[in-house]
Amino acid sequence: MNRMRKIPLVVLAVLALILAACGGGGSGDADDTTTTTATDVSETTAAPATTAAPDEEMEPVTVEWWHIQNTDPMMTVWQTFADEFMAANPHVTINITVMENEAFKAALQTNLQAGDVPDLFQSWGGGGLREQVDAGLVQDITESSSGFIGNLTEGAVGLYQVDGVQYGIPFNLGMVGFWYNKDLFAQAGIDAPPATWDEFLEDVQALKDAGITPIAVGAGDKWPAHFYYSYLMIREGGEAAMNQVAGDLDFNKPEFIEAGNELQRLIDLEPFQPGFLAAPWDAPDGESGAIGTGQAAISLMGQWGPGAYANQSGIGVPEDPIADRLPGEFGWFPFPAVEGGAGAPTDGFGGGDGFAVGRDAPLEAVQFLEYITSLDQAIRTGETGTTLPVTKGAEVSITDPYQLAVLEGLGNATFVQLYLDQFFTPELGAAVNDVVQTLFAGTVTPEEAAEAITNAAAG
Amino acid sequence: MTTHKTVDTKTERRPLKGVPGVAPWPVIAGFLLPALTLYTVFVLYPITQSIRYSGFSWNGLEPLTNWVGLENFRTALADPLFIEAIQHNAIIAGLSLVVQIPFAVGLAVLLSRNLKGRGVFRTMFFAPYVLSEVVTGVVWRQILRPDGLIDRLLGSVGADGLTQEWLADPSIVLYSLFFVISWKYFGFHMILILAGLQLIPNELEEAASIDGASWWQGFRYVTLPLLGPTIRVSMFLSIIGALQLFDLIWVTTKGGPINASSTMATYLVDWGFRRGQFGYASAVSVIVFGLSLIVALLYQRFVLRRDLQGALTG
Repeated sequence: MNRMRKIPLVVLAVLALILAACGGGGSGDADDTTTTTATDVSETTAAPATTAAPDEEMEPVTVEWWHIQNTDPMMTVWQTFADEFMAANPHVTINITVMENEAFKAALQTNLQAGDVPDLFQSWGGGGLREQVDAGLVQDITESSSGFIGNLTEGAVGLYQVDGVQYGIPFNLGMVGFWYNKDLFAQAGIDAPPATWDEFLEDVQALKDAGITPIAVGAGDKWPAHFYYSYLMIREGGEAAMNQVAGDLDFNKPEFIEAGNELQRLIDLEPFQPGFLAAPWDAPDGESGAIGTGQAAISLMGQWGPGAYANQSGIGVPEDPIADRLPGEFGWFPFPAVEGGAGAPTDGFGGGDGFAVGRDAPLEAVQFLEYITSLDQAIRTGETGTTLPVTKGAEVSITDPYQLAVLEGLGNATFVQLYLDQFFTPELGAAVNDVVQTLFAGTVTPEEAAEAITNAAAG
Repeated sequence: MTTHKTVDTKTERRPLKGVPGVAPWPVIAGFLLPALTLYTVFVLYPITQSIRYSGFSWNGLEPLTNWVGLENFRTALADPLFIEAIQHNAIIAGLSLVVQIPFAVGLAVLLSRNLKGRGVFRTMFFAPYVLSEVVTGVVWRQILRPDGLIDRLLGSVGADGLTQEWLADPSIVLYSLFFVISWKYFGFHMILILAGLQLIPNELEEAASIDGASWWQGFRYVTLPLLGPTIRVSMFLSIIGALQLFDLIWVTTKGGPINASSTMATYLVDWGFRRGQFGYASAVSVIVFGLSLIVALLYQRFVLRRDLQGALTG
């Protein structure tokens, strides 16, 4: 009897074990992941190329490339570049894995942990890259990239350096600013974008009084909300305070608490779309959806904003220019000046996209980066109207009025602070974002917010 | 009656052992080996690793060098957000037992009678269970979004005042999600209980009604006690489901806003994959494992004991 009684105990123990194990590893990725191998192009063009002597000697190599440009036009542009590179270098096969932003972050973490590092993968530089460098997962490409890195703007290149060593190559650099619907502004009787934070708050109130939802924010994804807090920190503290906090990680400073107070003034106006606390950035029920369908007037977002609004608007076809697919005429203005703050109104907040080079990547991976950032190719990415290429001279490709506005803001920038959630380690970045969400929900005071971030930094 | 049966089992069992031709142990081992290998590689090894990691402060990338002992466990148990997540699991489990199972019992009793079109109803109620949690989550996120289907329905019947930010209001979101979970799983419990009802001999209910029992008395004193084993298994599955709740929540709210719908599993995935604190997340997973084990054992010891004994000795 006794021995029999133990059987269900064991069964239940196993059940519990399995259940705990499932909890630990469960990552049900709902997001679409597609892997395409465009070998067909290289095969068809291989015949004439192999007649060239050096190619016959070449060992076949494969470059695993993970990027997050999962919508057109950039998705097709990358595929085309890969096909062209493979056609010119028949011994190279480029395997592209395209992922949605959040899915990419989770998948990359798993692969890095397993030591299976993609040869080229999306990177924002900052604290995340530093962790990868410390773990020896990325490659020092200072030498291999020296031939072409001088063609790229220094500010962007610097984001992919850790202690002076180059680990990746940027292809896009932009900054965050306010996108606004001029038609809705006109309806509220506002004729010019605000120059100061107080004017901005007045405009928000004016929009509200006109029955228009002033601001859409994807506070469910957290990082769109962190743009507000970060920008106010930059305006209040300026470059000096931002550089200092990068070292001492102490947010318990009057200027940062003041930033929280200013944010509180905005939140108290209740300017956001219904359900903003659960809204993601890019979805029909998200920030881009609310702006794209003309339900809200203002969105604080990077250079990729208009493309996303257009995709959610349901107007026109993807081939049409972005401006034709937006619900009204749009404009861009930099984050307004904050009275009494140490920061200049020209200080910017932003970042870019680039590709880090995995530790086992072949030299061809770096050569491919050289190809995609070469002037002709950079111009082709700029012409899509979704990217601000960092290759010198490629500015001429920017014809889209929205991208030109960002480019101008970037050109005027006296200082550019990298996104705080990328600048710090993933852990501290996540803490910043979480705290911002509680500020938006009104469950903490600015003092408690500064305290909470500082505590998270202290571990 | 039970003792009689136990004796039976023993007398049947004894000669089995002596039967010539029962496989010798190398053969038994040969058959066990593949399953055992899989079990070791995919269950035992990850669990051991998880326990090992839980003692380190580790970001998942560096070598394991920073041994912190039980520090991770202390931090987790002192983190109000983790305690909150456990409470959310408990609330879902409690509500499932109090709301979902009685509802399923009621429906099952209704559909076990000679009702016109009951086959259609059974299929209809069971259908949501067939959907994956991810699909359920995506669909319900659209239904519950501001100005979504629910809000419009309420508006169209003039109940605008009842519309809520179903997924965005921290004080409501958990209950919205409980509704979705119930929507998905009540059909499953209903089918279990229907099966249980069919095992109850009609004679017993007849006998009760001949003795003058009202319908309610018959249900309360005959049907319900005989349904006991099925209901207890149903409750057990509900509790387990509530403890491991993840997919549906992750798809709809990711545990937000401001952690108002977090569960132990979303908390641990958040710390592991978003913050890259894999040592800490491992410690959390060990705690989750421990809690699940304790709940399972207690339930087995105090609630399922009679049922399981019957099943094994009878």
